[in-house]
Amino acid sequence: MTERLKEVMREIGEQAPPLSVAEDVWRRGRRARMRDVVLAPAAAAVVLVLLAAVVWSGYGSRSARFAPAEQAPSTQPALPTTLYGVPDWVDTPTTDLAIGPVSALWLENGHQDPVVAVSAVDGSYRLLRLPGFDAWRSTVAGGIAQPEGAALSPDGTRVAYWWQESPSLGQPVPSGVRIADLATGEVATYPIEDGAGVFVSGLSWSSDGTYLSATVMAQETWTETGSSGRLPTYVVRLDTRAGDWARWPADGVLAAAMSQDGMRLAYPSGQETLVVTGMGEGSSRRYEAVGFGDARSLVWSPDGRRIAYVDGAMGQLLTVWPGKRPVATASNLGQRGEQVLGWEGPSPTVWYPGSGGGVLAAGDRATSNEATRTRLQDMGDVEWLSVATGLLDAPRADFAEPDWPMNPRWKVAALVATAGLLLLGFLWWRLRERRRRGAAAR
Amino acid sequence: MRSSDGEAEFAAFVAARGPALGRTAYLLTGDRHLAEDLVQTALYKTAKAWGQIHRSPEAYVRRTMYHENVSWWRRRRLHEVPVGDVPERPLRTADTDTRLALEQALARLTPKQRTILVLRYYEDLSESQVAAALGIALGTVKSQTRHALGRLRTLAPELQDLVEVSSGD
Repeated sequence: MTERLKEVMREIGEQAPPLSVAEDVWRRGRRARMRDVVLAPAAAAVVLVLLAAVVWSGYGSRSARFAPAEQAPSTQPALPTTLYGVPDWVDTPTTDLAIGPVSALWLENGHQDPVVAVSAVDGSYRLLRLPGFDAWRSTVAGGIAQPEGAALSPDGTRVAYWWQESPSLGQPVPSGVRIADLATGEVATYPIEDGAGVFVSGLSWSSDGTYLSATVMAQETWTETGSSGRLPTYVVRLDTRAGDWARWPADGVLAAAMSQDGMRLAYPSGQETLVVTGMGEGSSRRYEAVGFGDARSLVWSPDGRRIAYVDGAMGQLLTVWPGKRPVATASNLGQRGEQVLGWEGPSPTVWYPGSGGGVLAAGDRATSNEATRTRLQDMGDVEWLSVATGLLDAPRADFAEPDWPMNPRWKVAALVATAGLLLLGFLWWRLRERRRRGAAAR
Repeated sequence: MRSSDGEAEFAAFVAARGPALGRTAYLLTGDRHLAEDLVQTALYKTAKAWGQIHRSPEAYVRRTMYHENVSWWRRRRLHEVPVGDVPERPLRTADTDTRLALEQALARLTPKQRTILVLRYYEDLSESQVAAALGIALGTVKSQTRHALGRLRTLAPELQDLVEVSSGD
């Protein structure tokens, strides 16, 4: 049976019409072979290059300094008219602290560890990694009244900050204050030995940078998992020339202000009492002052006669002459953590936080001089801000926004889109060639 | 192998085996034009891979034809095969009727069934050789052969004596 089937199939085959084969079959086949030999490695190379570019771009910029394009240096150090937030994809901190005078220093919530420093000379930005500075802990341990964890000297050439080492079992945590010299990059350490270690906040400088004041809370215990503070807090003064600490006769103080000559300390005591004290015992004087119970962010005027502060309960910016009734300079401050940063002529300069950062203005924000304002733009949550207060009286510099690197996410998207387009183009070409060959074969 | 040597060898191969390839292609497709396309495509791919073919180029071409034929039908998603071209014959005899009936019945098989039957009963390959040529399991060849022959019997009862299912060859 199968033989018969084979026979009939052979007959069908022999009766089949003759077929013609195109003469260029060999040439077309070899051309296709050459294309494959060349294109495949080329395509592989392109893919590898694109992959390498994607990987490289994912790391973002390697530069640690971000400057405005074509920015001429200022003739003298100055605060800028605008402080810009650092994009969250910029994450290249530097430990090189020899960056020259700084006009402003702050900690943004998006950058947990490095602090942002703006050059007073050319408006360039850097993320500084201060050795021994725990950014997170500085915001937690700062106390209610004065949250700043670092403070620029009035001329912007040094930065003082709370320093701590890592806890080790059974040993006090080495801690205290460090001062970084921004001209040389050198860091000087001033330990404070008390209890299991100390939390330091409320750092402020005398106007000539000789003295540094700080509020200290000693710790009863301090381990890697946590610590417990010991009350009362107290205030100390560092003589940066001699390197000695002296303790002010002021205990249980959360908000205190050292005069700009470094000789007096003012702080609220109770609801309606202002205390001004010198270093010696018995040198304190107590003054009546309404609304002092919720006073925070105290700053002495340069002439040493007045103190500006924020009354959190009343939402006011007040100025007080010790012994006289406080005078409201601005109202409607709200509950957004306004801070007195320094003095600009006769008016205290206040940081008014707002959406995107806020503004630094002298006195009342609504009536302050536009020419002496500094806007804070595109910032995230700013934990604290310190400015070189000696620059507040100087004209502002109009530094442009730094030339930030492209967001790596956009780089990756652009590269993936390019790779996709190339692949689509290749597939379209292959399909077209296949159709062309099919049509040619017919 | 230089290009000119390869081209000469290829041309000699096509001249020698082209007609046989054409007959097989016609049996696989049942249509002259499709058979020509099938041979052209298979020879194009063979020319492209000429330097990498270390054994029989004919085996390469045939295998390419078998796979191309099946994949063409898959792409076109044809399930019912139209009756292919049947050349005019000057005289119809009983043999002619049988041949026509078989051609028409073959045209209504699936591409895989038809290919298996052509390889088994035209190319005269064993079941294991068919399995190797198509890259399928031996059991699949056996079952597809059985189904194809049964289908032929159903489509063309007059071919019953040709396509009686046997227990194997």
